Amino acid sequence: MSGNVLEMLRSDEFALSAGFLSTPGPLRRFLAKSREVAAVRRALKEGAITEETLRRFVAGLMSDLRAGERFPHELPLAAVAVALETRATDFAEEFLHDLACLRVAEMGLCTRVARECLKRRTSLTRSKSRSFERTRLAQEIPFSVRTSPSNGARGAVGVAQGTWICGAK
Amino acid sequence: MFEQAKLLGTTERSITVETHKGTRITNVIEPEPGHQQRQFYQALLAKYGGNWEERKPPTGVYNCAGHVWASRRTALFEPDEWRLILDEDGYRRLEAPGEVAPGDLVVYVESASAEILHVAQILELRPGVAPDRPRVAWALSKWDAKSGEVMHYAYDVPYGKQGIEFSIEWWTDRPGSRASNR
Repeated sequence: MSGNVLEMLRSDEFALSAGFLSTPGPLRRFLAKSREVAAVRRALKEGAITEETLRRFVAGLMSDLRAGERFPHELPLAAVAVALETRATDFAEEFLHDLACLRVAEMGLCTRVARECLKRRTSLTRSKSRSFERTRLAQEIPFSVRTSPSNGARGAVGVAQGTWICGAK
Repeated sequence: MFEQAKLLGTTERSITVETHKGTRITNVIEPEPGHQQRQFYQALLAKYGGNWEERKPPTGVYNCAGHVWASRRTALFEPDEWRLILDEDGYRRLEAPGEVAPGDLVVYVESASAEILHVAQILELRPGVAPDRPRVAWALSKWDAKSGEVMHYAYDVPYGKQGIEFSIEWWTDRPGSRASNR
């Protein structure tokens, strides 16, 4: 069951359902309503999959990244971003910020969706929504400020007024 | 996370695109689709494009907005900026489909957000289903930055099949009477 939930994100059926949607807002909304993303959210909430499972899944996808070639798993990554959008954990924050801060043409679609998710996440936080799934206490204001990138040259360093900033080291 | 991608550094490339009034437009030159994506495009055509006619096989570089406003040189991904282009390039919205002429634009708008989903160029007006029926706009679309270009009836688009509510706007750069503007 747990593996199936993530493998569904790689299925042709899922990709066909998304069709030609390629602007970040409409694609994010479409994914947020999809049963596949709902299943991932539910599986995470119920513990059927863990964030470590997700991390391995993402690492597996990323192994297919080749310079100069369009990344073949953009939709699954975008779907994971949407699934994590309302999840208040360090992993979700790291995933969204790291993905959103990439400037890699090969992965443009999923990075744009991650930026859209961050905008949504920030607005949810600012409106003091209680809908976040708190699986563990991360920070009092989970997405407000990160003073140092988690790794690499382009970590996210801050969120202010509904925007987020990627800073070069 | 995404260490492999970080190792690539910045690979995004853009060119200068501005509106007629000089506002800079965000853009990215998109990579070419791979073999797997070209094959999958055929499945998308089979699902959504039974009545479409292919003009050009899958290609990278540009998307719908890049086709219409950037001469196929780059992709424009910000629908808010698409609205800005319509405004700052002097387009005017047509009141009715009957006013449409070749060269005009058809703009598909997501009802839930009022955000533009897609833009295509009108190629011709084809005869209606019967002699007394209105002519139907035939459009040229580049659906996304890895699709091909296809010709289709303006109403024959994927969004309804995907459960997305949308509306259609018609825009032209042709001069109109003052009364017909907006």
